[in-house]
Amino acid sequence: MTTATVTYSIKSDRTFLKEVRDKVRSFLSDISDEVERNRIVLAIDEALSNIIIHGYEKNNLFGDITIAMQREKNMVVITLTDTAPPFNPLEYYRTLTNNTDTYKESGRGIKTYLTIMSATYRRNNDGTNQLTLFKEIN
Amino acid sequence: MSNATLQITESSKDSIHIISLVGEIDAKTAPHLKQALDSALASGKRKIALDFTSLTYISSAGIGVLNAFLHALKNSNGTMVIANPSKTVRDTLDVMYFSKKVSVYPDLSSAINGLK
Repeated sequence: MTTATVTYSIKSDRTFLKEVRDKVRSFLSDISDEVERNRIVLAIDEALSNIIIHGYEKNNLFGDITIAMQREKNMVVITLTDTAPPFNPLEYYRTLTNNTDTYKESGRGIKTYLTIMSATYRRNNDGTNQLTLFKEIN
Repeated sequence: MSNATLQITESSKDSIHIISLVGEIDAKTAPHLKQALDSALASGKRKIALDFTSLTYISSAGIGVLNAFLHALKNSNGTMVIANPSKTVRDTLDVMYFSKKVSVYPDLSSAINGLK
């Protein structure tokens, strides 16, 4: 498969979650395994929900989030860029326990998307957070 | 722009309260589910069958609501089962370990029998 890239922006509003899921699902439409496709959709939805809720809503902020989706050969790379205060989910993930039996599991969303996809985080010089999720598909 | 929707309908069979979910549960619609489940518990429902037949998506926001509800229900000597999740919804339940906490049945009638 040749390289394909789709980029667009949304406001930090939960209302946009379904739209993003639909776009990611469409971008991955050639993946025949619906479970594998849904897992990637779920991972992006979890990452985006965390940014909207913990990055913006809980800080009483509102802003833009850019979603860049890229395919190259068997690799799916999706980058979320936001203007919320600095937050490194990879560092936060390391503080979480692996206990799945508790009823109040903080970080369930982060655990989920970092289980499904690999990730890198960087704080850009322009003050944005950039979370890149990537996964090799079969 | 298309918004996620979640329709919730409730019915009873024998002593079992059936909650049927149609649509998607995400961070936007999960509060709607929480409201319905809290209301069922407050009105004394203790045997709950969640019919997932027409549920097309669930995220951790939905699992979080179900998890908290299960905890409250168990504290009230209640129990809950899930009926007929799609392949992808079932996978999400598995990924988040929720299927280890509740019984999942292939159809509503077997779920109801499981609660009797």
